[in-house]
Amino acid sequence: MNLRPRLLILIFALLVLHPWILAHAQEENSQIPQTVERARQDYLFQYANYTEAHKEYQTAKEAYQKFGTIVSQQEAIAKTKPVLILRAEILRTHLQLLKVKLASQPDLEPALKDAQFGKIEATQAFISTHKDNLQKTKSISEVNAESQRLEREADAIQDLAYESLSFLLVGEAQELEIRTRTMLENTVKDVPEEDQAIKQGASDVRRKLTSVRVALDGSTDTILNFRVSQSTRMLKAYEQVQKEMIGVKSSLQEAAQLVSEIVRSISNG
Amino acid sequence: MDNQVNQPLPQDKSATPREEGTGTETGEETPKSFAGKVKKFMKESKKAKLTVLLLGFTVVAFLIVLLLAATRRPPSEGGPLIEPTPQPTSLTPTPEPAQRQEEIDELRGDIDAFDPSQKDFQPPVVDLEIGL
Repeated sequence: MNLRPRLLILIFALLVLHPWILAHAQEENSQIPQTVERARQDYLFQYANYTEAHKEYQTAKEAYQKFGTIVSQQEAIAKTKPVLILRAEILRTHLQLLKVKLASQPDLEPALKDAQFGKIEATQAFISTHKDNLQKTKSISEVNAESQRLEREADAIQDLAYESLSFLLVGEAQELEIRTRTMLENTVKDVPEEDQAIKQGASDVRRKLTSVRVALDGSTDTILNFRVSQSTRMLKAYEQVQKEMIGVKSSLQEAAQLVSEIVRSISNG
Repeated sequence: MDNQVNQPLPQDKSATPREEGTGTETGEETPKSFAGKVKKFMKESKKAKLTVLLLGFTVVAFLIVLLLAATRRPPSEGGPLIEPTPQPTSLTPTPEPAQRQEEIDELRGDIDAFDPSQKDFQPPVVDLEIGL
């Protein structure tokens, strides 16, 4: 085979494959975890924009209600559309913040995490469509109809946010529990059997950590049971999880305090 | 008559097979070897000459660098051989007590920072009655 045909085949293959290569590269880029801080800054930025736009919308609406002229009507529509888009953007960036935060939890069950990501992404897609529709609206009735479309979904969006926040709390506490347990086991593994004081201390820590684990399982059940029943708003389940986590935090503090004392006792001989 | 039939046609060049690398239609010699081809190529264009020279220079420079790198001797050569420090077999070496204390302090700090109220992540409060 000559060199020229080979070269031609190579160029042809590159031409055919290059969209796939580009798409693949972009997909990999999108998987690069966005930092929580950046997502938070995005959200706060959109919130500040929304607050500003909301003031302008209120002024324009009042003027329209007062004068009722075509000019004031056009002005009111012109000021309502941006505030609606920014309202949607706040909800989208808040969900993005929760998604990034969830992604940063190493000890959260992967299946649970994936399911939550799926829900968040579907809601974000709905919000994006809503934003596109808003861009196309021209009359007051169109603007109002599109605004109500999001308002009808607001409860479901809020439920999703509280559900994600509940999983976040469980994930964070789980990570701290694992770290405390690992530290304890690494500290006491070389302690001789005769050292009863340290063995007793370690046993106390284990008991506390077991109670933490039970509380975390209970909280996960609370969230999952809400998912099944859907009879109450997620906020109730979230508040229950929060209460549980206050107890978990103090148990973890006590356990870590005991581990610290064990470490000090070992290093003092 | 017989002689005329056996004679090849005067303009039929394909009838007389050309020897490979011996010549062209214009009468120029086509070199058979790679070096010959490169020489001919260099004669034909100044750009080609420059490219070939640059390529040659690069290859020579690369070879020199390669040779220098290969012949460089470590400074410790000739002296007593030192046994390399054995690497610890455990993947998680036991930390020193001070380091361990540092780790536990860090963990306690993280537990203190754990915020069940999640103030920074609460859902936004937005106007849900926007309309004209």
